[in-house]
Amino acid sequence: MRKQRRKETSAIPTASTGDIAFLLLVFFMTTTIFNNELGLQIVLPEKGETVKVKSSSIAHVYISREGVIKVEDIVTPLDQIEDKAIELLTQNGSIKADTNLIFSMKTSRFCKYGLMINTFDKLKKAFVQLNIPEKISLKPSPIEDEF
Amino acid sequence: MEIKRIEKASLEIPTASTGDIAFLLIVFFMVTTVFRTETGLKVNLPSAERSKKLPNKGIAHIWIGEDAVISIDDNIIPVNYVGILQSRKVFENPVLITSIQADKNANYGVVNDVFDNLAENKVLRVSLATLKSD
Repeated sequence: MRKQRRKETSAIPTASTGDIAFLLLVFFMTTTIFNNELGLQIVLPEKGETVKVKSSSIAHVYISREGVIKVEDIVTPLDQIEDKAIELLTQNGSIKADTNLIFSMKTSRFCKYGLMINTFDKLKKAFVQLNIPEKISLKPSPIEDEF
Repeated sequence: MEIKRIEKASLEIPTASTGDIAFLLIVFFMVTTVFRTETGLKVNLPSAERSKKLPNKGIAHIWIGEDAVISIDDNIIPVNYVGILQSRKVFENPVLITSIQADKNANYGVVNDVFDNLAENKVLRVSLATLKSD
């Protein structure tokens, strides 16, 4: 009696490759961190690039060492800066905002950076609300100017 | 005449290509994954509402810690070298954005010194890194 030999299959089973691949896929998907950095964009003025501006078209914002904010010499809390800025930008009663007005932010060198960013953000918001290009200058206040 | 038998339709969904599809997706994710190479300093970023998303490429970071330490490419750098270092990077890529990651409790004076030094070296495209606040 002759025993019949069973024929071995020569194909590699591929049914599980999909599973393996999906497993890897899930791993990469969960470990991937998309780079989403946020920031306030500014363009620094070039050195020696000085522009003469009429003093009437400058609005002064001072931030003291203690974190007191003064807009046009009036102490303003952080949450009122935006309204104040809009008020200044639309001062002459016209519907059209004053596009010549420049905000000059003078921050004490000893003031916290976070406060300066918050103030800057509020001013930026005012410009965005009125839909006019931002004109904000950032400078440190001279030490003798501290109030 | 012989009547042709209707072929029985196979009930199985062909799965031979799922592996290919999955591997294609893997390759995509592998290629798009960017691993952070710089560790920088540990900073508490301030938050702002008007912050905008930065592009994924073409950004050079400057870290400013709470204690006025400045770090670029994981090296502690004195203030007066910041501009020179960054201007070299800008020379290679003119549309480079310098992202300043400053701690919210740092003194503004330090950040301003960095601004001045960057401006002196004609590095003018700057972004102040923030977190999004509602």
